[in-house]
Amino acid sequence: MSCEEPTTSPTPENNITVVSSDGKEFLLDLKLTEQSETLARLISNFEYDRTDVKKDPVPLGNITSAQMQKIIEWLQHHRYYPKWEQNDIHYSTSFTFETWVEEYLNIPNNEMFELLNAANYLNIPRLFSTICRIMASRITGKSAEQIRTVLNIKTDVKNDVYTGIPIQEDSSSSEDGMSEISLSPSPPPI
Amino acid sequence: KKAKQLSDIPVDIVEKIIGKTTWKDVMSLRQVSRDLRSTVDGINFVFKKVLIIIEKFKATMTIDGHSHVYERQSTIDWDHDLTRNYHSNIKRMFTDLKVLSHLPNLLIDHLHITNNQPGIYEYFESIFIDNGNEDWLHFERFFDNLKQFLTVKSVHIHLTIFLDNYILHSLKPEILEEIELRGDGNDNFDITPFEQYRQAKVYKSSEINYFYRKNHLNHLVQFDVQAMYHHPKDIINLKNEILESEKFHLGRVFWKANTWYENGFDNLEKQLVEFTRKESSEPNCRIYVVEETKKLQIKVTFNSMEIQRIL
Repeated sequence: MSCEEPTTSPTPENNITVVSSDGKEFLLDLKLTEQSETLARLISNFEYDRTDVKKDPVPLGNITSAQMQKIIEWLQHHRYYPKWEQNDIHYSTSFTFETWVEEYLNIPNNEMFELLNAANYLNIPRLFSTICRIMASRITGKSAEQIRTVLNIKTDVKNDVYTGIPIQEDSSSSEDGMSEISLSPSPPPI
Repeated sequence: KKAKQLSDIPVDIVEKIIGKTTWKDVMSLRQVSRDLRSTVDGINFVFKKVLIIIEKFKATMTIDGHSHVYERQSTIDWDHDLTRNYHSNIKRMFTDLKVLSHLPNLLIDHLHITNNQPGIYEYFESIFIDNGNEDWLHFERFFDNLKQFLTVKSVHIHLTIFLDNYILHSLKPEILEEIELRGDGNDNFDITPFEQYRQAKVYKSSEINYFYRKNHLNHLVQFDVQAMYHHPKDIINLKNEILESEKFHLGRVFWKANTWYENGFDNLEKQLVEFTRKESSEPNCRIYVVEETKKLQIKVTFNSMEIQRIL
């Protein structure tokens, strides 16, 4: 194990097979699975890291082959990264990303949400946190209307939550007069 | 199940995303859709520190590292125009706080309000402090609508302007634990004993000269206040109040207008009952241990007293 080359193609000894929801099989290097807490726990439970144990393919019913492909791309890129530190506050609140990450996550919202779900299911903290930050960075600094556009949400809020005034294009230009109206003692009923 | 949009994602994951945005974003997110609003409203927002800096031409609010500047340029260089902008900055900031306070689980650990530049009072406040000034009445009315809305655990107000009353009034008394005041903007506190004072456990104030005399302090766990004058009978009154108090732990009073001489100490000693005097190594300092319903130690110098409950 210790003398394996980074470019070694997977062999039955150092990899497992995962099966996506649409039945496609992927050979996955054991080294890569360390980044996924779900897979790592599974491998350790079934002792799949031992060469003398027969490895059954692992079904991943929640993940499509396209998503699996995308996730493997992530795992391979981060193969030699240090272990993810959960409490790195500085990192986890920053909105700057590696160029590679920005390109990797330059995908439509629906794919992003699916990838987020997959990252959550497989418990890949670095990927999960990065997607959360990317999503947050797309929201930050925007008005409600702009967020609706970014997230593709149709509003079901007829009136402004605070002023009771019908929502207009952009309510960020709050003029002095507004503050008088908006200070009702309790929020208007929804 | 395929996640096509945000609402298809489990709520706890959406909460994680929202947790990485700023307070300004949280306010916008609440207006996006009902789903998102109920998600946002389910989150326990605990802001560690809200820092407000009020300056002549702008007001800055920083919540856990994210700042917003409230600023409006004056078109005319007239005093009343500048004053209006000054008001407007403060009003828009408090409007945002009011909006934030709609979060059902909001808690602010610490609120710190300061004005970096002393002297604003003379510049702006003098213009509208006189009764009947329309700008001032407008400003007052604005704050009348802002009573007890903000959940703050501890507040430090370091101002030399007349905003202190309004700010204290805007905090929810049942949440407030600690009040610290500094600056001479709050001289009129002696006539406004707020609910906020009665609920807080710790109270500190300096440069406020009149508060102490007319406001009872015996509900506090700890206080540290400055008075203008302090006489032996004030110490006796305070001691008696504290003997009735359940929670009291430590209190200090400093005064600046009447320095005590020997006769002051003697006068105090005459009025004390059931006490023992302890030796003090400090000059101009006497220490008494009082044992009535409770055991207290009183340390008096020429311009300060410290009273402590001994367990």
